[in-house]
Amino acid sequence: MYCKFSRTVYAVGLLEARPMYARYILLLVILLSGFVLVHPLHAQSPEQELSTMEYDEEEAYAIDGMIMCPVCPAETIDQAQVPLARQMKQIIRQKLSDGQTREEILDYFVDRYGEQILAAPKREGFHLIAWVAPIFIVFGALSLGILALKSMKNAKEDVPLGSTIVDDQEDRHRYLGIVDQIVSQNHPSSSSSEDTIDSEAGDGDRG
Amino acid sequence: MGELGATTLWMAICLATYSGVGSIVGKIFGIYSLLESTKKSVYLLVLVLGVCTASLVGLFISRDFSIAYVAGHSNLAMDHIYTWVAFYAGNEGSLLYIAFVLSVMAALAVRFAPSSVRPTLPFSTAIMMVVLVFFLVVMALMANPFAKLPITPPDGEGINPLLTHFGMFFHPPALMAGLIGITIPTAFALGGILGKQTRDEWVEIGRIWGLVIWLLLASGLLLGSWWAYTILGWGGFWFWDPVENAAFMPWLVLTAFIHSIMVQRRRGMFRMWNIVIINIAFSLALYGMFMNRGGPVPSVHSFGASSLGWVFLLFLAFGTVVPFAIFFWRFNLLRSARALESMLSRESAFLMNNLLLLGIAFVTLWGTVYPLISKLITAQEITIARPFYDQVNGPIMLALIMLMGIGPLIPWRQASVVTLCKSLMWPIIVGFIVVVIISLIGFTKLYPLIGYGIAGMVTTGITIEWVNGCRSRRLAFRESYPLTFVKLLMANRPRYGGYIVHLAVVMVLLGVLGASFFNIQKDVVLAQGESVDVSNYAVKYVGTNVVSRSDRVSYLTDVEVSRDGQFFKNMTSRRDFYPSFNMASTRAAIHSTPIEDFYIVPSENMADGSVGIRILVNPMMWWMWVAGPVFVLGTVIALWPDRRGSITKPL
Repeated sequence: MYCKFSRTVYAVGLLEARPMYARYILLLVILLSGFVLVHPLHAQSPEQELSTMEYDEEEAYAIDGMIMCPVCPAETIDQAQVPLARQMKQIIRQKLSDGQTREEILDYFVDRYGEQILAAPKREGFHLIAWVAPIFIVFGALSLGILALKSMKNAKEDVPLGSTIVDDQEDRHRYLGIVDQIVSQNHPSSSSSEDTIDSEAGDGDRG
Repeated sequence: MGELGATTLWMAICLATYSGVGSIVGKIFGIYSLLESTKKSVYLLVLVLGVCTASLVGLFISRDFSIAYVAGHSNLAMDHIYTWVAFYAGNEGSLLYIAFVLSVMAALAVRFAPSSVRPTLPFSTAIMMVVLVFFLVVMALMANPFAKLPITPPDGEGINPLLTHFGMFFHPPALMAGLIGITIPTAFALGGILGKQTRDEWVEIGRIWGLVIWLLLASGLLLGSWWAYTILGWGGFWFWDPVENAAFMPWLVLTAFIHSIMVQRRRGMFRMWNIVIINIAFSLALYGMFMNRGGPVPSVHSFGASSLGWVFLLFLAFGTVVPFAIFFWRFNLLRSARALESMLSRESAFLMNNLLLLGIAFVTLWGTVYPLISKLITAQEITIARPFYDQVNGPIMLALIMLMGIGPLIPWRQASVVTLCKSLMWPIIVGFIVVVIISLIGFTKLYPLIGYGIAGMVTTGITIEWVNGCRSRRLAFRESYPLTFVKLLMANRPRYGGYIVHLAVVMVLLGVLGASFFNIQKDVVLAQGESVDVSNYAVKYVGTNVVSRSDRVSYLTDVEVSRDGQFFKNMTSRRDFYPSFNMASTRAAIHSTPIEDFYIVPSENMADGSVGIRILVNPMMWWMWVAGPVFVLGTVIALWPDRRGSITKPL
């Protein structure tokens, strides 16, 4: 772990020495290595002390959070404080120390109370839809967004002629905007430095 | 006094109907005096509903148990201070509260409408009045707070004990006001396009109302979490309860709105999108009120279960279909003032932020309706609760907060990859260092590591923006550093107020990560004198004092807490049992520091004198509650009007 850390510092140091493009490649490498670094560490972290007990309390606690309390509204048994929830927690711990797995324990409760005892449906069969749909929702929305942005790039601009309000000031801004645009196309480098000032200095100052 | 209330209720219905119909007729036929008169009647509505509200309060204070609502939600033992809570504890009262708040907001909206929206104000007024009339009519016909009991009981049933908490003075009213308040920006948006003002006339006023409502919802949600944390007695603060979700979704969409409206304000773009998004927020707000007031799903919020469900469902359908119909009717008029210049620009970042926020909202909605779908198709009853939302929404939220760190660093119009990388370099490096340090300390869970890295990144990005802003101001003005900073904040309030809110989001993230991934929970039964070790704390049960009151029995549990073997603190937590409700409410004893909360709550007092207690160590929870005032501060700065008028010029 320490070794990886020092390597990172070394990489950061390199940032100063290399030409521009190399810096960004390095930056990317650092970013990616961050995720690589994080991942194996995650796998190496079993709590050793708990193994002296009959069961793994962390596992028991995790299972508590997956089972609804049958008599309280919308609460899992780790939240609920009614006697029934406490008994159910006791059963979970008993079964864990008997060597049963999480799956077996969940099945036991499903057999007794039906599917709705689970706080979330299992990722199998029909209920896979419940889990897959969100992925489609998010990625669908994002790709629609990108399509929308692309079409906005090619969009015709709203010409104020013939609209109900004639706003001189806005027209002036529009005119200045077009001038800006042409200037920035001719001098791309000056445009980028202007953007930096804009984002750094607080663009309200100049109003 | 009951008659006064019932009479003013019907007066309000007449006035609101008159205002709505009158403003449309006056606008269409150009009758100026009619328009003036409808405006006046909108103001008068506040007075009439104010009297109506006051008379219900009066009935509570005079303990007039001949009124069914008063008898159902208060009793002689109730402290007068809880009248305010009892007022909206049930359906009837909360409908009156909602109607009153809407009338006040409508009057303010009409009174302070800027000149740009004046031509279409009658349409907006009519939309507000349609919503108001709905609530008033439902109240008058189906849930009248002034209905009488056939026989006057000697004492009332009392207030639900779970509501007797400080947080309850603000959480329900803030959320109800926020949900109904979405009507106002929606009315401005739809009124504008109905009157063919389809450019940016409504943007400034829409943004202001959007921010106010957003803040109301945000504080309502945080206060609700705080209430759950201190009184529900399980040590958590958020559990994706259907009613929580119902308030959370409009807030998410409104968050999207207050960002995307900035694009229209600065660039004249996203004209259609802003209308769509405020319509969605409005539908979800109606859905929220439907869940809360006639809710078909089990929830800890089932305070006012009733048969109002189908009426609300109908109005929900109406409130969804009609705004979108108006939108599609005027669709071709809503063209952007400018084309997008670059895919890599603040505009695009805002759109992505919007889509992620809507993504969370719709995933949450999906989770809420999926059990119904499953029941219809497979005839199988299933539950979608916390684990589902945690697993599905967690990653989207992290992505969103990451975007929150990147977006503000991207300039408007177009960014070059080089400048963007330059401004992102330090935030990313710091975020990475945070990850390394935390993993070296020994916290190696994947999620929180990423979360803390992102928190470091966002904070650095904002700090750099502030430092650079101060530097360039100092070059120009040579002021002292604190003054420079304040002036910088004041120079572009929407932007720097927004940064403060972003910091508050980071604080909430710290609390959520700490309490969800590093908390320690222990449920134990202790006999007198017995003690238990939790983390580096030891808890010794000293004893319980039992205090009987007329409506409840209080069990005050004393424990002696030591930390690292040294005496630390005596703590007293409380459990009140209300025999008439057969319900207990707990009050946790919490020692809160920025590093961790030590939380102790009794769950059961056994007959033999022993006590069942739950002990929790919740790291970083403190940050979550402190974030509340920071949210308020940032929003107030963003909202603060500028004497010089709008200084941020359109780009």
